[in-house]
Amino acid sequence: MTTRFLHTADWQLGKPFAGIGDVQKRSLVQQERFTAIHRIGLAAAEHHAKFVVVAGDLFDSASVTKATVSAACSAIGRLGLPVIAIPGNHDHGGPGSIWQQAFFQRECASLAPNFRILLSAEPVELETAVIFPCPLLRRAESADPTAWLRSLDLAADAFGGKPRIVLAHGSTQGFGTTSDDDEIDGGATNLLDLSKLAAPSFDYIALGDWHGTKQVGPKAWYSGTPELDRFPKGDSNEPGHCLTVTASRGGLPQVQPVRTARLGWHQLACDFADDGALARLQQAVEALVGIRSHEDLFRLELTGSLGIEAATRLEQFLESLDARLLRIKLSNRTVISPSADEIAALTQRTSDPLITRVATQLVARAAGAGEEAAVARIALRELHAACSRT
Amino acid sequence: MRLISATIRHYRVHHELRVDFDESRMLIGGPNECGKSTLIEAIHRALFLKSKVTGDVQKSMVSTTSPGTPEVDLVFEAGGKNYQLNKRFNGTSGTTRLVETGGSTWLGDEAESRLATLLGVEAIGGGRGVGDRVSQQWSHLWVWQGQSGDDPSAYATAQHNNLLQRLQQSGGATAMQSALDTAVAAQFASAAESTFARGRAKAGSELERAETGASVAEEKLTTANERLERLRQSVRDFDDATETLARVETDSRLITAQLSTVSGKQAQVEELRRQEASQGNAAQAAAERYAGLERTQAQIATLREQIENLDVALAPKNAEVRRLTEAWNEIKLHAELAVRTYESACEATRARRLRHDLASAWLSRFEKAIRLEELSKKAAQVQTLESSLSSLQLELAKLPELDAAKVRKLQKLENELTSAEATLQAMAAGLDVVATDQPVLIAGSPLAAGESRVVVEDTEVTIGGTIRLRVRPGGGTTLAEARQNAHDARRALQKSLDGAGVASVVEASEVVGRRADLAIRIKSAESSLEGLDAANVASALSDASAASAAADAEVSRRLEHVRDLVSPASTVEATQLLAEEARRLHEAEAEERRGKSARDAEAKILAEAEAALLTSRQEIEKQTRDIGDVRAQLRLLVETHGTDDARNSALTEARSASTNADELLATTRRAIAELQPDLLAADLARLQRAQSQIERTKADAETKRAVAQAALRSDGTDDPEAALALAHSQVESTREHLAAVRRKAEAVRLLHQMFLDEQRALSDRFTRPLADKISEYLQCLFGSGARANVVLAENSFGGLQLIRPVQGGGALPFETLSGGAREQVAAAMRLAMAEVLAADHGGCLPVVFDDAFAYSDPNRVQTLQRMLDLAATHGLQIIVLTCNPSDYSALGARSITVQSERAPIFQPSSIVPTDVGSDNGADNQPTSASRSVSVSDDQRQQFLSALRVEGGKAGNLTLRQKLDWDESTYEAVKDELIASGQLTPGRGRGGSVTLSAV
Repeated sequence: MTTRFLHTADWQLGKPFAGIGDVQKRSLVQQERFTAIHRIGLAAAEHHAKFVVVAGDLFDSASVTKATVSAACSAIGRLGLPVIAIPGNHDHGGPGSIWQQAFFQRECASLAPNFRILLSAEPVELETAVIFPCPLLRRAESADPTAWLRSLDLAADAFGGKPRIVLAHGSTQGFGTTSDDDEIDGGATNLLDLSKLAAPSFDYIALGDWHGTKQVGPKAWYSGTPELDRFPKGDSNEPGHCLTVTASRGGLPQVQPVRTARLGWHQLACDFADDGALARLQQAVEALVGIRSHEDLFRLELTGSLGIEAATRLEQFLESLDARLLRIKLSNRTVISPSADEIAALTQRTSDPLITRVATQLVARAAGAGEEAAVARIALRELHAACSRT
Repeated sequence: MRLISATIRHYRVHHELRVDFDESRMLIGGPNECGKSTLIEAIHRALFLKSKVTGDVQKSMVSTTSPGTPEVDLVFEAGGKNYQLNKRFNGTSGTTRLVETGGSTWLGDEAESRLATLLGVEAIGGGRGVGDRVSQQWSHLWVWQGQSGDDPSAYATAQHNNLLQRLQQSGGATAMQSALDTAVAAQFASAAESTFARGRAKAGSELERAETGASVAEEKLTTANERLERLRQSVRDFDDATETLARVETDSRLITAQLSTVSGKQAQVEELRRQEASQGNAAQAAAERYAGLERTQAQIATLREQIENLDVALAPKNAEVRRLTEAWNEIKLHAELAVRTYESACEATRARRLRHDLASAWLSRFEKAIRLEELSKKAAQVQTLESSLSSLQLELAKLPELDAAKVRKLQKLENELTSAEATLQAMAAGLDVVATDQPVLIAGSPLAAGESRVVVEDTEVTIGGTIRLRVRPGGGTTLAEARQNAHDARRALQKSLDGAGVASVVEASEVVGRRADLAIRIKSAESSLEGLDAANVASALSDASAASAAADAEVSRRLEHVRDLVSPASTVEATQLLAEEARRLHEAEAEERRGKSARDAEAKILAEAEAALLTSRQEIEKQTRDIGDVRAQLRLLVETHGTDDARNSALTEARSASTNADELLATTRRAIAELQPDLLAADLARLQRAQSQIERTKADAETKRAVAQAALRSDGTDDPEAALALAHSQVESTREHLAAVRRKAEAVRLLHQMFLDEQRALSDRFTRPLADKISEYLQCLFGSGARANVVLAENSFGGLQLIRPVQGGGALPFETLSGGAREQVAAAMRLAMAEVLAADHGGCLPVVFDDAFAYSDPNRVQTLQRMLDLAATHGLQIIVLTCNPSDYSALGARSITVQSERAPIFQPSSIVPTDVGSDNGADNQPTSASRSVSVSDDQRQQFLSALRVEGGKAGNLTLRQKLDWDESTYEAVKDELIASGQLTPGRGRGGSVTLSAV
């Protein structure tokens, strides 16, 4: 028997995006994640999916607000087709979890009757497939959530020959022990040992936790997050997709990624060797962002040194960029190193003996490294500005 | 610029005064109020005040003693040329004229502006506070009185620009800060000031806000962390509690099982115990029964023995009783005999007594009769005495009551009468008719010749018919008195006699004698009566007769009882009889007594025997009763418990029953011990404790779980994890922001500090030359090594300090110096400044010291002159005004003395010896001090008339001679008239006066 469905995970609904300072921009980014669900629905319709599996981390935390829950249930309800999910490590089950709160159950019942959250490790038979959920009932599970699968003794034709889909959330061997998470406490938890599973017993292993779309086994895939939620780490990371899967009992699944992301998360590193590099930076940014506004987030790492005036121009550029983009994650380690002209302009003012003397002293101080030198450089810039102003 | 000469007219106290100035050193001396200060004020105003000035300033210049417009002529040198300046301060019609020697002339406003240009100042013409403002001009050079101790830095500030320029030039073209420098420095100063307060971020500044923001974010992060931690803790608690509850269930089941086992065993023990109890009772009963039977046996045996003993004891007793009975009978017989004997003795006694009593009665009768007789005799005696007594008393009563005292009184009266009569008699005049031829009548009664009569009263003697003589014996009144006395005495005597009831005194004494006699007789009669006990005699008599009668009666009575006695005839016989009978009675009584005692003895013996008998009988009875009792007991026992045989068999049976019961009991007890009931109890307690502990644990776990569950129940209004993430990023961004702001603030602070330092260094370069110059002058005063410090800050000079090498080298701020030191240091600074500024004025400036060293001690004043001299050597024109010019003699200055307009007759030694190559001020007006001599109107008129006679003008000497006044008067009047303006002093050697034009 064959079935086609959509495999997605790591929706991270309710993620705070604390790094975004502007409240409105923050809410834009948060809202985009709900809109992504709609795009998933479009993909499901397009590819004639029978149901959708969400391999964990549907919510970003186990204590999301009512508003988030309502929006989620509403979006899921609008999908129309059955949505099966398991708790991940962010929205884990267990005491106090979102799945047991009264308000979730109310909203789910009224807005998303097509939604099922599987909280216990036992097979669930659907119309066209059998789901084997490995729910996470704690934030950090030291035991392998897939362990219960090993002891299952399934006849080959059990469950009427429907394709068997494992739904699990965690990191697999081969990815090291660090999880793809900016959580403060990661650690060697939620490890899935897929090698111990009896391969013929299961027809597809739908994984969640890794935010990039990735195949980790002949039948095991990470769908990744449908809408990016962070600056991607590494190159082989392709977030922003869901997977359409065609699974058949006893056969290999056919998997096709579908792009669903909209916002752009860009990264640039620039080292200023001279003042001209500033212009080059500006061009690069323009190339990435174009004329879009409120649709991109940038990670900028700036190093090197600029003259006073160039440094001021850089600041202005960054300011305007910040206004236009959703967020600039800035690491600005450029050093203000006044040009020869600028130094001369400050230290050779015959008519202003005080300024000259002060500037000379500052130039001497700024030459070193360390906090004193940094302060001296800033002082030079201020002096420069004061002289230009008056 | 240099002063050459000055002439002032009609300027306050000065009528006209001219002073020529030395080109470098000038000393102006003069007493107080001589107008020195006025002089330099005038010069100053001439230089700096427009002549058209009006108001109080102008009025203050006007002289009250010298009418006319205040006027100043000043010759000075400036810019290499000499100028002559004339100013007349006449209010709005004031005039100014400036003449350049060998050059142009300027008038009015042109002159003012030209003058101002020369001096390098702005002219001051009026306006508010014009007086103060004008005195500010060149105030660094003009040391007004009282301002010598002020810090001259303030004045320096006014000259700041000039000073700086000159200092700059002398400092070798050191650049000054530009306008941009100042602006930028000020900018950073204000930025630093608005950011920092006392080294910390100022409240409200961006830095402070950033700091606050960072710390607030940190707090929020902590809170968010805590909240999330609490939630996670709740999850942990929930899991723990669930686990605990499961464990507790298992434990509980275990404990319950154990508990039931133990309870079962306990029940068993209960059962066995009950058995034990009943068996115990049975055993006890059996034993008791056996014991009872045994007791009975013993009792019976004892009783039997008892009976035997008692019987044995009884036998001898009976014999005893018999013996005692016999004895008793015998004794009884004896007792009866004794009684009879006694009774007969009594009878005899009685008879004897009767006889005795009769005898006694007889005697008594005799005695009574005797007594009666006695008493009768006595009574008769008494009677007699009483009657004589009463007759005596009657006699006494008849006599008048007189006693010796009364008699004496009477005698006395009689004596008085006698004496009064005697006196009268003595007074009486005896009239003897010796011979007469006429009838002599004495008180109407004639007296013939040879007769005499005694007259005791005024008597008229008529001789013949015509001669009437009165004879007054005793001289009149005395006679009357005496007569009266005698009369009175006679009357008194008579009265007393009447009172007493006697006719004469003699009779009275007779009476008294009789009375006394009677009294004696009465008394003896009375005492006799008393001796006889008269009062009682009567009663005694009646008693005695009664007693006698009674005695008779008694005798008769007794005779009835006794017949065989012979009645005695007399008392003697009676007495004898009585004695006999008494003796016999005595004998009979003795007999009676003997009999009584015998009877008593026998009775006693009898009683004893009876008692012994009774006792024995009682004993026997008792013993017999006892035996009876015991037998009864024995019978009872045997009846109750059966025959001996029956009893024995019962005993055996009972013994075996007891033994059986004991065995049963022992078995049961062993069974109980095996079950270890004590341990069971402990087990039960232990298990129950465990159970309740489990209950508690369970309850706690349930509570904990419920609490955790409740804590985990969320209403979904916020997401703690999202909140934590937000808090984190907030902390980061605020920290970054704070770092940036801080760095910028530090940069601003650094800039500010640097600018300040540079400014200070720069100003130091200016102030150094000035400080050096001041130091040079100070060293004249304080020795080498003395230094001054002065600071230029924000376009003002200040911080003047004195550093003296001897006193530890510390810098003393100007304000802390003593008054004298201040004067000196201030002077040094002024001189230094003047020196610097003089460059703009052709290398010379006048420096005026008006009484500027009042607080300096004489030694210091000497060293001062070194400083002043040095200044002069450097080109300054030093002008010193002083009341004590001799103090400054060592200066070597030209000196003049300003004298007051009214000099006293004798000049004070205020003129300085002019031997140091300078000539005295020429053309000094002779001035004199005023004297306090009151000048009368008359004198004034005289003076003026005299002067008019002289034609309105005269020499002083002449006029004085004409007036014939002494010098002082003349001078006083003259001064006054001058002061009032009616006179004008003229010139000339001796002085002259002129009538003023009206």
